Amino acid sequence: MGLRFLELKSGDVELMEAELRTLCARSGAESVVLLDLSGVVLASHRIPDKIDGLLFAALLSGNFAATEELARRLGVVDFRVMYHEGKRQNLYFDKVTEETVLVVLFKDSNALGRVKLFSEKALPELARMVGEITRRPETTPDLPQARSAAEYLARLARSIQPGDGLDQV
Amino acid sequence: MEATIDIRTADGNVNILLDEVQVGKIRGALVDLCLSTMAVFAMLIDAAGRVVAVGGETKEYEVEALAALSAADLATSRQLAALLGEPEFSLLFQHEKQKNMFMTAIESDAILIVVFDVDTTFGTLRLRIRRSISQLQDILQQAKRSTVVALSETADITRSDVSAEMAEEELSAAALPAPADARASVTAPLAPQAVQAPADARASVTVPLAPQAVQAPADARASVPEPGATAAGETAAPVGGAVTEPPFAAPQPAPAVSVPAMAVPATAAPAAAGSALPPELAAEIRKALVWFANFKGWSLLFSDEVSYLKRAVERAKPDQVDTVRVVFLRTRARLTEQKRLLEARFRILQSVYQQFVAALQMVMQGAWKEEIVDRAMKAAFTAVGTENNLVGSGVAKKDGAWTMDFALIGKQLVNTCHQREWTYQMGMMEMVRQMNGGLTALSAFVVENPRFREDLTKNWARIYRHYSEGLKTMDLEPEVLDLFRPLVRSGQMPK
Repeated sequence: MGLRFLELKSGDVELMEAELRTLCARSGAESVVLLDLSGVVLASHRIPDKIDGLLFAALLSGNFAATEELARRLGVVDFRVMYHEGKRQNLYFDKVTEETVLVVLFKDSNALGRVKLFSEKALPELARMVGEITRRPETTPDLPQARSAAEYLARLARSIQPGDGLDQV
Repeated sequence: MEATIDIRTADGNVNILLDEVQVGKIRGALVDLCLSTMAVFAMLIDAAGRVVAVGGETKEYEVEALAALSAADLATSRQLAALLGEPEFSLLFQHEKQKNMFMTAIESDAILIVVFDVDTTFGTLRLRIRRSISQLQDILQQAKRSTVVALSETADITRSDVSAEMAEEELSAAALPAPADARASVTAPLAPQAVQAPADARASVTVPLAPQAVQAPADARASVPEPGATAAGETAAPVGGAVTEPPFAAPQPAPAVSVPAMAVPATAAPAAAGSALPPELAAEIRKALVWFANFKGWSLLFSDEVSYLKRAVERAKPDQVDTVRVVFLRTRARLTEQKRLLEARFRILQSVYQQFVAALQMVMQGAWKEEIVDRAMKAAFTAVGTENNLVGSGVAKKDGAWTMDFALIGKQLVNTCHQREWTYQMGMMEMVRQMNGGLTALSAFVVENPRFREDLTKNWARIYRHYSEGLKTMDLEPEVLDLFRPLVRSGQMPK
């Protein structure tokens, strides 16, 4: 399973986040994250401030991958859904595509059905978005040639187009 | 007993040693779980990823690989849980048509894994697994405590040991001359009315308590909080034994003990034609086998021994007689010991609770019409743990005075135990915990009023004394002791 780099534009992220926002509101979840299996957050909604987002994402993807392997050992072919139940918080994992996972963090364990229902409703749209991004041909930025660092930075600044997200940094 | 399996922490240190009996118990619990939920298999592993016990059908799977992966998986889950501020996560993954798996940590170093397929509904599993978890927890806690002892204990039970043990038993059963009748103390528990028999054996344990503590074992069936105990016996116990006024049946004369237990007449059974066992021994083994069969919870543990003995009664060669005798004596001694321990512990607990209730009633006879008591009672009892409120239901204000209806509390205890599938021991623990919480809150309120202070302090001291005296005689787990500790720590009222 050769993983590709996904090139996300700000527009992609906004679209995905809108989808996640809807899912979060409908399912009554605490927060929703869309992850790459390598542990990169593609889009998220309402990750609690006290949680280190990077660490959280890495643990989520690692945990999912370990369980996937476990399932394979048991003879499960297309492993998709996983559920962690805690005392106050619960985690629901659902595979979007081969490389991406949707994770929903919610409080009331009774709402599992609701979370499941709306997650499954949101999945096709998310899968379509991710698929679109994956299929898009990789762009290789033509970096400016320069003799000094100062000149390089000046040219780089000139090459930034408004609207591709970098101007907001 | 020989230590066979160890449970290790994630860093490989040995944490718990399990002997054959305990592993057998664990296996029994797992098999039980599989049978009752139709799961494919269930296994207990340690945090280091090694298999401790397996129950169910595992032929198709590499359990070792599964165990290692599961341990790793649960380790990451733990980190996730820590990040989210959760104590622990249990894991489930689902696939509608193929295998599902449920994984949960028990006692922090052991992990229970259940693999199930379409035959099992998750609801059933969830319901049933709670009981299994508490069973396994009990076993592991016990093992944890005995680990140090088990390490130092090396000797197998030799024949002479067993003989000594048996001699002791015969002494305690006293008055019965013939060897067949001397087994009365062993066979007694079969018949409900024969319960008072082991009372003298236990007297040494219960001595520090008030005299009624010894009589407390009114109903032996009730006092064994094992799944195998009869339902009728269980319902009878706490209401009668712990709560209402006539908890103690009138002591019965000792001779009643030996008779009713026998399903098979002691002397009437001659040795089978093909067996070289002496007829006396064969008859005793037969009697014991009938007795063994009645302990459902343990029959699994001793299944090997029991089947061996059965075979021996049928056909034993002359050179096997000694071995058969040793196996028989050892098995019976172990079973008797187990049973006694369990009963004694439960009874001590019961009597401590009774003393506590008596002391509490005394405290509550004072002037309870004050407004301050209103506040205190409301805060203390009616608000205790909304979920399984055992105490609050029995506390009410009648004719301007607060009363506690202990019969009602007892009933509530029985109901809760049945609903939640708790053993009575757990129910009692929960009740004591709630009482403790309530009393601490109550005292905090009441102590504000100097008029009550002196009187109450005196009575509180009584309660503390009862507690600490009772606890000294009990062999309780540290977790349980913690429940009592706030009251025991000082004879002073909480400030």
